Amino acid sequence: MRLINDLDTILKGFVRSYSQIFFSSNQYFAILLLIITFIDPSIGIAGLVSALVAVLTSYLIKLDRETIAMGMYGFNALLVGFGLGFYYDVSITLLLLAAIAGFFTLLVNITFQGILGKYYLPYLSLPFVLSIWLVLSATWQLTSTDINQSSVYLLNRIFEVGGFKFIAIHDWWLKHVSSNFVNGYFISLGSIFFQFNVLAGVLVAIALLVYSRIAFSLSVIGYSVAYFAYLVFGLDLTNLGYSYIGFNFILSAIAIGGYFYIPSKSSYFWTIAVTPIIALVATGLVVIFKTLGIPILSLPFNIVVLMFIYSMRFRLSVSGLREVVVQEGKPELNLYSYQSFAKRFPNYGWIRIRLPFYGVWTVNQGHHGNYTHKGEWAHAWDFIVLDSDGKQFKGDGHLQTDYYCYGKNVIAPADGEVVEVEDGIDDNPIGEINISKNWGNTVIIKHTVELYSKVSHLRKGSITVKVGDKLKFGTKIGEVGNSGRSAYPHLHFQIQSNEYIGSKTLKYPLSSYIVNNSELKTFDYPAVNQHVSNIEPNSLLKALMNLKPGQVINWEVEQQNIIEKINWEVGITYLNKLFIKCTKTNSKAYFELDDVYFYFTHFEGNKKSLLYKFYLAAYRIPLTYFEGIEASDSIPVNKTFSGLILYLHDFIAPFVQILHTDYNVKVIRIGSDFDIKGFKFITTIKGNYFNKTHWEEKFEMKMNASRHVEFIHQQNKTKAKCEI
Amino acid sequence: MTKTMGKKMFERPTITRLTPGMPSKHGVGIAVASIQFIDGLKIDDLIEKYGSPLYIFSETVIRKNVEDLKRAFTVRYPKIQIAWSYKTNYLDAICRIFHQEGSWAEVVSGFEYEKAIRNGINGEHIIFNGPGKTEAELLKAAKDGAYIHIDHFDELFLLAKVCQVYDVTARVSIRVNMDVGIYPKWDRFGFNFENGEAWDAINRIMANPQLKLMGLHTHIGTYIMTTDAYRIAAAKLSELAASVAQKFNHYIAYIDMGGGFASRNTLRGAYLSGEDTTPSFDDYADAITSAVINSQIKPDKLPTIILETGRALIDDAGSIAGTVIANKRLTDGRRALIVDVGVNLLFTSFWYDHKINPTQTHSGLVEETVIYGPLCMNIDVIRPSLMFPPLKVGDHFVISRTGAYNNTQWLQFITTRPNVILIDTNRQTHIIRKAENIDNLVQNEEIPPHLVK
Repeated sequence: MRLINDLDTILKGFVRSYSQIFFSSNQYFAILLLIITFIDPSIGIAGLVSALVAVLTSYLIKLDRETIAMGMYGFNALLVGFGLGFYYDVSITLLLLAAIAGFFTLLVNITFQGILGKYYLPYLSLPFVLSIWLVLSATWQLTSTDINQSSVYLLNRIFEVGGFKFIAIHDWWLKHVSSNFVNGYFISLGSIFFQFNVLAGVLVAIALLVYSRIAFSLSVIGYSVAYFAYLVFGLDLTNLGYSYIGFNFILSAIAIGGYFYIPSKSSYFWTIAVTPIIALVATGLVVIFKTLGIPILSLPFNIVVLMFIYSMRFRLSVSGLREVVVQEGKPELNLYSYQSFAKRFPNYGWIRIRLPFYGVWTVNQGHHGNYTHKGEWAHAWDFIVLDSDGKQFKGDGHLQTDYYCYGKNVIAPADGEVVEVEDGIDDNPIGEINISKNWGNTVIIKHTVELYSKVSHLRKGSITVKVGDKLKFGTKIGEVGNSGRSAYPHLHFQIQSNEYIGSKTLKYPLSSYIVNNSELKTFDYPAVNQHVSNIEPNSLLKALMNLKPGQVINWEVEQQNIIEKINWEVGITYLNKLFIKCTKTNSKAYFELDDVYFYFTHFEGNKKSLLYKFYLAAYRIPLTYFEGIEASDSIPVNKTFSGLILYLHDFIAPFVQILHTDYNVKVIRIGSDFDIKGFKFITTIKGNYFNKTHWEEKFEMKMNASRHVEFIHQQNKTKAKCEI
Repeated sequence: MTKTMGKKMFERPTITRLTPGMPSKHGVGIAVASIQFIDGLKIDDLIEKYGSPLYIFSETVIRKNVEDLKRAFTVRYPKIQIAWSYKTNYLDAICRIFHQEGSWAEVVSGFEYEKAIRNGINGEHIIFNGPGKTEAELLKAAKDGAYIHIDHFDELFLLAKVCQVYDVTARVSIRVNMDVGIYPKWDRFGFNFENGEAWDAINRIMANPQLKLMGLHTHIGTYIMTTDAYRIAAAKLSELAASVAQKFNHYIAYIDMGGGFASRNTLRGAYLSGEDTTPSFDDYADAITSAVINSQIKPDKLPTIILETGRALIDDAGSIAGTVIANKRLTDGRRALIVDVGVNLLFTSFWYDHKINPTQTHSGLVEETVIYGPLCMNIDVIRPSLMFPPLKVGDHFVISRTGAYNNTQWLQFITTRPNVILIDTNRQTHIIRKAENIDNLVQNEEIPPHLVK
């Protein structure tokens, strides 16, 4: 078992070295590229040996296995091997050289990883550039190697690869595709693998297209912009001297446009903007390095991309161009995950501030209110209690005690520490205000750095906390009164960024509340006249959905009278991300819980698995219950659409989104209020584009209080049972 | 204008104590206002239409009361449930208003249980109280999933037997009595807290897999004027709940605080008027919720608070309008008024000094008066003594805050009972219980053959 794991790591690390050249960890893409490198066997074998040695060494010296398996320690060595294979013909000496170079490149690699890693910067192919300079310069001195001449005798090479058929194609190509622009593109692509011919370029382009539409379109954009930039400089990119460096533009375009940044209008814009700089740098470097007699290789790409990433980190406000935080290894994945995350969790990690009271209250004055919430104090709320006639007092309303909200408890809206208490200000008779102490009796709670909440106009003598008290959400801090600039009893509530009474307000949303007893809101702003209340988590829902690491779930799946047993395990990554793993298909579904919802955040693996169906069905499950509650969301389209439509969509996805997958779940409670037998969830998922539903999936799930779960997928006639 | 222009209003001569000048230790001069309207409808017109005497209920006031009670609690505590106390008033129309407002049913007999079912309440929303449940009733309640509040050990044993024999499980709660520092101490219902009886009962229930302990119930008394008693009661029940959680890792679903909130009627013998002394819903709510919140119960396991408030929700929604039958002068010189509302209709006059007002304006002079009902029975006294204006025969009056208990404890005694009407929220009137006639009353009587002529 251990051996298989080890072999798996090494093999993955080796194969992915090929795709890592394009920042990818896709193994199919990698294998395609591997095959292409053998168009020139000398290049193919030298690269293979180099990469293999680097990966094996990294394994032997026990580097991080995840990183090894990603191919991060192999790809620079691979490139060095290519270089050697390009210059020298196959021989024992070459293979030995390749092996030594592989080891050496790994050391350079680790060194750069260490140095640049401190700045959270990628090392790109800098190790390759440095290694090959040294290795090549050294080998100039060697006599036991023969120069590889295959790139000179191109037709021979093509014949060796594909016989007369390929020769015919080659002839056809030369006859019909005479454009320097087009051929230059393919040669540039091929030259990444030291294959300076159109054939290799075409194959790489096809592999790139199959792997990622965004990366492919970026490669075209990067190359084209560079081509025209050179024209403007009065140079021709397709000239032999420059086609060695054409790939710099392609790699930079993929790096900036789609890999290190979320593909978007901005990333495409910056790709275009940066390309001429690379042209300038490349031209300059060529001149300087000519004197040294060494090629500049991918140096321009490395320098400019690193400087760009580094510089962009100094931005004070991030908008438009967004760096990828969790690298999923493919522009499309990064894009769809980001789109989904940005939409679903715009307030991820924000402090959860709730309403400072129990029960249903009415917003009498919201943000930018008609009375006093203006200017620097615009982002505040006034709350009162109304009866069903819309009146806020009983009787004549001449007495403070006539007002429904008067004397009601005010609670801490979030965990925090009391930093300011003002008490002792008299409650005004109805209709009168106190302008000298306009905030009245007030409590200010610090929730975190630069985040404070303030409640004002409390009843004199009602405040039950003192400065320094550590509070939990829900702790009583005082009672509603009529002190300060308050003509009738109400509760003033605001968020502010410092601890002083009278500070200006901060626009900050409340994490969760219910409007009019029927609508769940998260990270939103209660508006004037809304009837709002805090949510009450349902302990059963919470207990059911609170899956814990180590938990094993044994399913019994019935499909067309065949019963199958499937095991799931709940796990946790070192980044504290929880996931469910299907041990059969190795699929993983990542999930999170907050006090309002259970969410699935990510799925990877087999889309035929039960886990995938469960991921869809339980994409967002509310953890609170009231009659008629439902929840809606949208699932990333790359998890739900497939085939040509998704491929086409990938091209335009950075700019517009046409495909939509809409999720809706209705929750029905089984049993009575005090004896909840369980819950039923009815999920509908619709695949929409051009305002039409093109497919629909329905799931039904029952979870009962004794933790038995029944999961039904109608379309598939699948019925599954388990205990959680 | 027409009155002054036309014939001058006649009021018969009165003898009255003169209390001039500043208020003395006898108080200020007494004024008795007239109440002419209920929900905007003229009482005299209602009597004309539906006869005298007449029970009048205001749907608006009922709904308002429920809303007030709910608001007082929900702004302080997350989970509240009201269960309408059937014995306070089980006229179907009245019950259904409460049910529409989300109230469950709190019943104390098989009869009330049936009534609740007929009113569309399912068993899972019925709280079944009382010391006298039969085996059949227990079985039905258990099957329906009602909450059976066990009153004594014999009931516990009976229910355990029923569950065993019929193989059903029952949702149960126990009624707990306790010392909450008030007199009289109610210890005839339920299991005692202080002597450990309640804890004993809980242990027996927890040991029986067919009995599911859902909650804890107390009912500290009736017409409780001090909120502190509720604070103590809620604290003691919470203590029990915390003990159950600690020992059995079982979290009860609810704490039932029973009823007993006072209405604003004035008790017989009370020095001050009920209007001034009765705690508000807010006062009760504050005492109860703060005791539960401050208890050892974990914040995420807080039980629902159930309220069986009856009197305070319905009393002021009901009135009785009536007519003066005769005037008399007693031998001690006091004036007596004989009216058509007797203790058969106003059972609560045994407890309260009911507020009685004429429905017409009067000159303002009042005289000490005894108000007697029409029954030929010495006990039939509505008010033994009050300052009242001189009404004429045929004049109407209205007795306020009669909504609680009078339509359940009324007596079919000497005469039949009159119409009960409801003024809905659109000021439309509906008869909700027709006046009885002799056929209604004799229909269950049977005459042995030898007595049939």
